[in-house]
Amino acid sequence: MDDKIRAAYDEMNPTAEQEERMLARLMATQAGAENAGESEKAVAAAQAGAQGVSAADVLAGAAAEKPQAGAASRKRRNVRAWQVALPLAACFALVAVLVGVTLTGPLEEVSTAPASSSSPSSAKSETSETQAPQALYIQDSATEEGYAPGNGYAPDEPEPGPEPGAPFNTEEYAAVDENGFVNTRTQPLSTVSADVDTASYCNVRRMINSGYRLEDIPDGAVRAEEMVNYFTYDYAEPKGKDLFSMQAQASTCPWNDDTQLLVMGFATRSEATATDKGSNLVFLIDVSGSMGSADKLDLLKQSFKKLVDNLGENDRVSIVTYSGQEEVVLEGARGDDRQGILKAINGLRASGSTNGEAGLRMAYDIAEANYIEGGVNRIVMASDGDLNVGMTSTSDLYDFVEGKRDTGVYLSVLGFGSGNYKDTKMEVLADHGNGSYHYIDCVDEAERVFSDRLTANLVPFADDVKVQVEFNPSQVKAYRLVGYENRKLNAEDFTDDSVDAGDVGPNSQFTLIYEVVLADSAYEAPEVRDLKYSTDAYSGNASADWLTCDLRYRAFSDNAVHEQELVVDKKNSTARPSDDWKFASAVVEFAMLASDSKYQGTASLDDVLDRLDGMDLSEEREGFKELVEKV
Amino acid sequence: MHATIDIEAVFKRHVKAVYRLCYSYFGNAADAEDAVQATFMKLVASPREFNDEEHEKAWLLACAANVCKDELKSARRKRAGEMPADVPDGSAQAEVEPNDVLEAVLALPDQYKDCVYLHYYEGYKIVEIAAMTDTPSSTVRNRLSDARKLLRSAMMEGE
Repeated sequence: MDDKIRAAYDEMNPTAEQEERMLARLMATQAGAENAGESEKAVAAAQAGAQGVSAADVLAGAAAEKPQAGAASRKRRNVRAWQVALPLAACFALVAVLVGVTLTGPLEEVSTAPASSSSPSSAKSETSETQAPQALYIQDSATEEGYAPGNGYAPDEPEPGPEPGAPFNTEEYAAVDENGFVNTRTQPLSTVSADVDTASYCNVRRMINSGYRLEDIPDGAVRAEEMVNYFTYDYAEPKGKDLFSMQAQASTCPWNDDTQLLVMGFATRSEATATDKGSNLVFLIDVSGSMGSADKLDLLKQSFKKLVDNLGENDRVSIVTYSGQEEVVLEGARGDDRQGILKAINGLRASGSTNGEAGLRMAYDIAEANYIEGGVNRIVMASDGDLNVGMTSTSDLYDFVEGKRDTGVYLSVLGFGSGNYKDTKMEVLADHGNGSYHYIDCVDEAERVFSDRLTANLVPFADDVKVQVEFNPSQVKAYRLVGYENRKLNAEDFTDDSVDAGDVGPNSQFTLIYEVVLADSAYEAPEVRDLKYSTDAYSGNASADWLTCDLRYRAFSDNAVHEQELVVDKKNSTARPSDDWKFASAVVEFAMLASDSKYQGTASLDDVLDRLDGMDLSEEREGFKELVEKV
Repeated sequence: MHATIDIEAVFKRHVKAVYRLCYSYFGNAADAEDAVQATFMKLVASPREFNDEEHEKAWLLACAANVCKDELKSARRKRAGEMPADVPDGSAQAEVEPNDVLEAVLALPDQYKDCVYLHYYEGYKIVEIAAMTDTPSSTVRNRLSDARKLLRSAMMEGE
């Protein structure tokens, strides 16, 4: 009998992941505890939360007060409000899901009670989340869109319980406010920043491969544009002096017979344009305790080995590591000093908390010290994004990285791992640091990012790439931009060259997709009342054009701003679309299903597979098909 | 500045033992994790010198037991004052393979839980448990024997 009792206790052991998370949380709270005085704020936030105010509102309030606070104290405040408001949002869900936790038995009477008592103490932090993978609201006050509550995951509508025994999960994704249909009469202009990130696809792939069902995938983890852009398409080479080629094809939307799906592709030249002046690469590697697992630091090491094979004598490599404290492991080593670089990489060990801020500062210092005029100067940051010491809020990171952009140093971000993955922070860093964002879920992906697309990912080519589409209201009633939710720009930003936008390397592509409602469509576009003061505004002229797409960018070669134009009309529409169109539409359809889109119409996995069945698939596209089949 | 302690090292040494104890009180990971956090934070808030690691562990376990009992008590008080609007019904229960012993352990009355864990799993003697939990030895002995009866009958039932 004693053995059985011992065995029962053995079953209660925490998982390694739980241990890791509890430790990270403890270290963070310990750091926070040393800076007293902010607790009233936290308590206020907690009370507001208890009264039904959403976590996002609480955080918005905290963020709104930020400018008056000194830099040091605002850092702490964000930690506190974040720590308290998050669990409150999750607490609501917890009540319902608790019963689905590992065990049954006469315990629910006891176990639900502490969950519903929203403890205002800061000791209660994000770990009171449910086991269900879900999007959490992280208010990013610096993003013009904001993340409005009421979309995606609502705190008071708990997700259904997950599989028993599923590991705890503190991954964070910003809620995505999906683009809806826009009436062309009032808003004929649609403006976006280019995006060549691919992280979302790899992250979703990782989730599916680890057994997530479609409904388990946090909506916020699905960014349709990143999924579409992961794949390469058969786009034309640019002609003449143009840096980009532009193409468009439309056909009947697979999930809505009354609309057209317009796929516009943009591609840069495929020949290598690597500068002979070499690259100054600073690798900023997270070696905190949370990185100590096979899908993180070990994978990272293997990934860097792939990269080292592609470096030459003109390249300079530095390695800065950070955990509780930052350290320069290697500075300015020649790219062909393979032994030295690999030795430094192999010596990395994971331990301690994650002070990403200090690491970032040091990486920028090193990058500036080794600056190569006219060459590539780039920091490549590798982390799970769980920065729990120092600057821990997305908006502070944003400010910091934004402030460093003028140094001419680019920042790329590589995401690793699962369980505590902070997608929000990683994307903010890359977006505002003039960089790209990739998620590495396996060695093959590392090879893809570091070998196949190395120049595309590291060499600057065209900066601040923006697209503006003007729809013709006489031909198009309404349109819906697929994805790019956090890449939308104001119409005025298109010609304002001080507004930052995405950077595109050589040998890159990106794809923009619109669901278009033509004037003669039966689909009911959202109506707006007649304007009182402006007669005939935006009624469109007799032109048969559907739209004009303008592309604007600053070329790295001459540092001048260029524009290109593409007109789309009926001729671009076909009943027999290309494989590229079919594939892109399949990816979008899948993304809509994964994020439970409001506009999914008749979309279904069978439909996606049917379309994929009818074409020759490259290895990378075959991978997508397998993923869909797995779901 | 108070005495510094390497909380990370302490945590790594004892987290499993502390977690198991907390889990046995709450029966769910979320609350257990919170209790673990609160336990180690008590050490952070008032650092102390320990004679050795055994002493450290005994202190943490005793502290954890108190944290859990306090939390359950205040949760119960709170619940008494409000309508149980969202009491989950059986239909939402996860379908876990029933483990009779585990269930029986989790179903023990709260006042038995620390004694049972400390004695049966951690191997503390009755006098040690008495000292750790500030309870007379005779009480510990009685609790253990009561708990043993409960566990045995639960196991018989399961068979």
